[in-house]
Amino acid sequence: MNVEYFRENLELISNCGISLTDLEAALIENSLIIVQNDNKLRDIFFIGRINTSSDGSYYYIAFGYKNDILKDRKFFYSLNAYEWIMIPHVKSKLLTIALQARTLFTGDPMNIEMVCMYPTFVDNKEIKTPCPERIKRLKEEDKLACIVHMIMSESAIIPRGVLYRQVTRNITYNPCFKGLNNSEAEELINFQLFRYPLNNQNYNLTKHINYNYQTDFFDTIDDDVPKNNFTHSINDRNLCIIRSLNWPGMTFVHKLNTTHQCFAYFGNGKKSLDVFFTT
Amino acid sequence: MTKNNNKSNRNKQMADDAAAVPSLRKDLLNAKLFMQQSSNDSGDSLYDHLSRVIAKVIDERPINVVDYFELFSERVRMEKFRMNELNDNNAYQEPQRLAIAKRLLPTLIEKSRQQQQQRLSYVNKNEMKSIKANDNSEESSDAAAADDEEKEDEKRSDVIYYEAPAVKDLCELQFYWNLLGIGFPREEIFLLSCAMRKLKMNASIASCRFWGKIFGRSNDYYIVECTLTVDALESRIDAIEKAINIMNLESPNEECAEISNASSEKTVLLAESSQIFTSSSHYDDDMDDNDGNIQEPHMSSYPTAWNFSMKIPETSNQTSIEIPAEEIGHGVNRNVYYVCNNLSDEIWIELPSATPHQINVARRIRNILTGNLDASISSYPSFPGTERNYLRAIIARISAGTHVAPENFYRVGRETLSESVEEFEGENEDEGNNDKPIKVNDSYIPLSIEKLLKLDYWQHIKPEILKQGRVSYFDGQILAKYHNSINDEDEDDGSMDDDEENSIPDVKHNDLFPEMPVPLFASCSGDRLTNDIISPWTIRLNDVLESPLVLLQSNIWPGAFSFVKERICDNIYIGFGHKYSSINYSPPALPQLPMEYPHSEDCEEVNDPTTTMMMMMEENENNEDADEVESLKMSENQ
Repeated sequence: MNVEYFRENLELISNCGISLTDLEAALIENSLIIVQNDNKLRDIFFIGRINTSSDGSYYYIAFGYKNDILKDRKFFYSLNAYEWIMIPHVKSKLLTIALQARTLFTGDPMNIEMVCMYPTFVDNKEIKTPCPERIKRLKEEDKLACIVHMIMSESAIIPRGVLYRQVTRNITYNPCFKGLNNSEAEELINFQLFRYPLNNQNYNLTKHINYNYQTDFFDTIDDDVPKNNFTHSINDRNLCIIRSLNWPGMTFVHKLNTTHQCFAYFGNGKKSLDVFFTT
Repeated sequence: MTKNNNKSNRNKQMADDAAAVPSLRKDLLNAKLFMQQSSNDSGDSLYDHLSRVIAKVIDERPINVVDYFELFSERVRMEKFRMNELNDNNAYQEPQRLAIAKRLLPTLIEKSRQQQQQRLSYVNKNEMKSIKANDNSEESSDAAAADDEEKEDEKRSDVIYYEAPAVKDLCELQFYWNLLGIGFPREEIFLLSCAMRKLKMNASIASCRFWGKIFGRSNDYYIVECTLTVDALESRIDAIEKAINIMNLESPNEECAEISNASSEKTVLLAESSQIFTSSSHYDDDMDDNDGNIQEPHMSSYPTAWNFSMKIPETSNQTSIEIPAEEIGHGVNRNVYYVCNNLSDEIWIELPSATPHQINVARRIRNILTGNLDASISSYPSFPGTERNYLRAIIARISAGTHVAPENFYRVGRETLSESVEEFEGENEDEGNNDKPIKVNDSYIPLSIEKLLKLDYWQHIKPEILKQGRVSYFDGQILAKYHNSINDEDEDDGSMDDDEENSIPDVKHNDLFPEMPVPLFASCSGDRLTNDIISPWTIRLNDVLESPLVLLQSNIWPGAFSFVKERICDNIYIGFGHKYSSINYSPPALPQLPMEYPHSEDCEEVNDPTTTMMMMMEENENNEDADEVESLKMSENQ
C-alpha cells in the first residue's frame, strides 16, 4: 500500500480481518516517509507483516522505487516498525532452499537455519538420515529476502491499467487509471500480477480484445499456475477482494470505480502448496 | 457530420479558387482536408479527435500530460464512444448500490424506530414512577404492590445493564479487537450486530457470540456460536429420539447383533473396531496390516488341492461399529452454530451436528470452502456430507484447539437440562469426563499482567476432541469388557494438541484402551505440536489503554486469537480454516492392490489346447468309442 494514502489503504485492508494497531500504523507511516526521503525514492510502499515465533516481534516489510516500479525496487525490513534496514539481494540458488525451510521466522536476522533439502517421508514421518550434502545453511536475512521476493512475484496483484510502460520503457503509475467498474471486476482477466511478465507478450496481449500495448503486457491471474489459486469476491460496498491461496494472508482490495487499490500481506511467511489438493 | 461536410465543401471551393500554383495556403488546406477525412469504421476524423483532445487538455489541465499522451488520447476516444452510448439510450443509469440500499434500509429504519420506542418507554416509566409517588399517600395498600413491581422492574433493568461479564456486546468486543489490529471495519461490525440481533430474536436461542469468519472462494462465512434454551434442547432431543425409534422399527440394528455375537469373536471384532476408531475408513486397515507377516498364516491354511468344495477365501464382512454422534447439547455439539454469507441479507442458516466420522475425515483432508453450503466436497478420503458438514467439523476442531481463557475465568457449571442433573452429579467424580458445561466464574480476580504473559496461566475452555471424534469416550460393550481385564497402564498423555493428524498411533498398541482425555481447563503450557518445533502460542501485549490488553495468538491455527482485559475475554477466528503444518499437506496414499488368490504347487497352469490337439483328442475318443462298441458287440455275441 502506498504510504501516501496509508490511512485510506489501511481502512481497505482491514476488510481482510487483520491489520495494524494504531501505534504500528503511526510508526510505520512516519518512519517510512523519512526512509523515502533518505533514499530519494519516488514512492514507498508498505507490503506487510510477517509473524515470527519469538514473542511479540514481527518483520515489517516495505519497498520503494526511483523510476521504474519493477526494476529499481529497494526492499526494507524492520523489527520494531521504525528502524528500516535494506533487504539483501536475492540469490536465485537460495530460493529453493528458502522454500523448503520448515521453521518459522525466529525474529533474529542473523540466525542461521539448517535446511534439509528434499527430505524423504514415509507415512508423513520424516526419515532422518545423516546426509551432509543435503543440509544447507540459510541465514534468516537471506530467507526473508527470498520469501519477500516470492510473495511479491507470486501473489501481489494490481488491477489492469494501474501501471503502464512509458515510451522510455519505464514502468510507472498510470495517471489515467480511473478504477475498474463492476463488470470489469467480475473477470479475473482484469487483474495482473505485479511482476515482470513471464509469459510471452503477445500471449498476454491477445487475452484482451481491446488490448493496449502500454498496459496489457502483464501476466494476468486467470491462468496463473496452479489454476484457481485466488479467491475472488465483490461485496456490498463495491469492494473487490482477492486473496491468494498460495500465500495465505495476502489480500488485495480494490474499491471499484475509484483509484483506491492496495494489497498487503499478514501471514507467517510460509507458502501453501495445498491448492493442488483442494480443488 | 453534416456541418463537417459543409465545411469541407467550402474548403474545397476555396482550394479551387486559389491559384493553381503551389502555395503555403494551398498546402495547408490540403493537409487539413486530409485530416478531416472520416474513417470508414468509426465515422470519426483525426481533426475532430485532435481538437477534442486539445480541448480536454485545456479544460482539465492535467500535469505532465505529455508523458502519457497516448493513454490520454485513448481515454478521450473511449469517453466519446461512451457518451454516444449514453446519448443513444438517453437513459438515466441507476446507482450501483441501489439494490443493496433498498434491501438494507427497511431493517435500519426498524432499528431506529426501536431505539426511539425504547427511549420513550424509559421516559414513560420515569413519569409513571413520579405519578405513583404522588399517589402514594392516598392508596397505601396498592402502593406496596406497586413497589414490589417496581423492584422487580429494577431488577430486570439491572439485568439489562449489568450482564454477566463474559457476555459482552459485539460492538464493545470488536472495539477491543480493533485496538489489537484484528477485526473488521466499523460498517461491517454495525451490519453484523444488526444481523445478530435479528438472530437473537429467535425464541430457541439463549445466548449468542460472534465466533469468527472463515473465508471461502467466492463468499465468506460469518459464524455465530449459540447456546439453545432448555426447551429448545429438549424438544430437539425428543425429535431425534423419535426419529431413531422409527429407524429401529424399520430395520433391526446391526450393531446390536454384532455386539451380542461379540463374546465368541471377541478378538476379531476388537481388532476391527479399534481400526475403525482410529481411521474410520477401511483401506487404512489394509495399509496398517500390510507388514507382510499377516498374509502368511492365510497361505498355509489354503487348500493344497484345487478343491472347490473345500474353501474359497470368503470376503470378511466389514460391517463396522459406527461411533454414535454426541447428542445435541453435549460434547462436540454443545453449542449450535449459525452461519451467514451476506450480512445485508440477514439470513442465518443453522449448521447440522457434527458426527465423529466427519470430524475424523476432516482431520485428514484439506479443502478450501467455496461459500456455498450445499457444495459437494471432492476429497480423498471422501468426506461424508456436504460443505455445511465440513464447515461444522472445522468449527468444532478450531474451537477445541484455540478457545482459551485465563486461569479461573470459567468454572464448571451445571447441566442446563433437568434430566441430566443426576447424571451429571454421578459423573462428577469421573475425572476422565470432559463433557461439562462451563460458566463464567463470578469470583474471578483479574490476574496480573506478569502472570498473563506466561502460558501457565492460560487454560483451554473447550474440551479436547478425542481421536474417536467425540468429547466423551464412547465405550462399546466389548471394549468395556476388555478394558476391565487390562488396567489402563500406559495412557498416552502426550500431546494436548487436540487433533494432530500425524499423531494417529499404531492400531494394535493404543486404541484398545479408552483414551484418557486431557482434562478440561488444562493449562496451555502443556500444548505442543507433535511434528513441529514451533511453540503453539505467541503472547503479545498492547498497552494503548490504561489497563493493558494481552493477546494470545495461536500458531497451530493461524488466524485464531484470544484476548483478555481485566474481566473481558474473547476468542475469535479469522482465516481459511487450515491447520498449520511445517510440511505441506499430502493426501494419503491409495490403498494397495488386493492380493490374488495364491496358487499352490499342485495347481499348475497349463496351456489351452489348440484346435489340432482338440481334433486329435476327438479322434482318440472316437476310436475308443469304436473299440468300446466292438467290445460290446463281442460280449453280446458271446
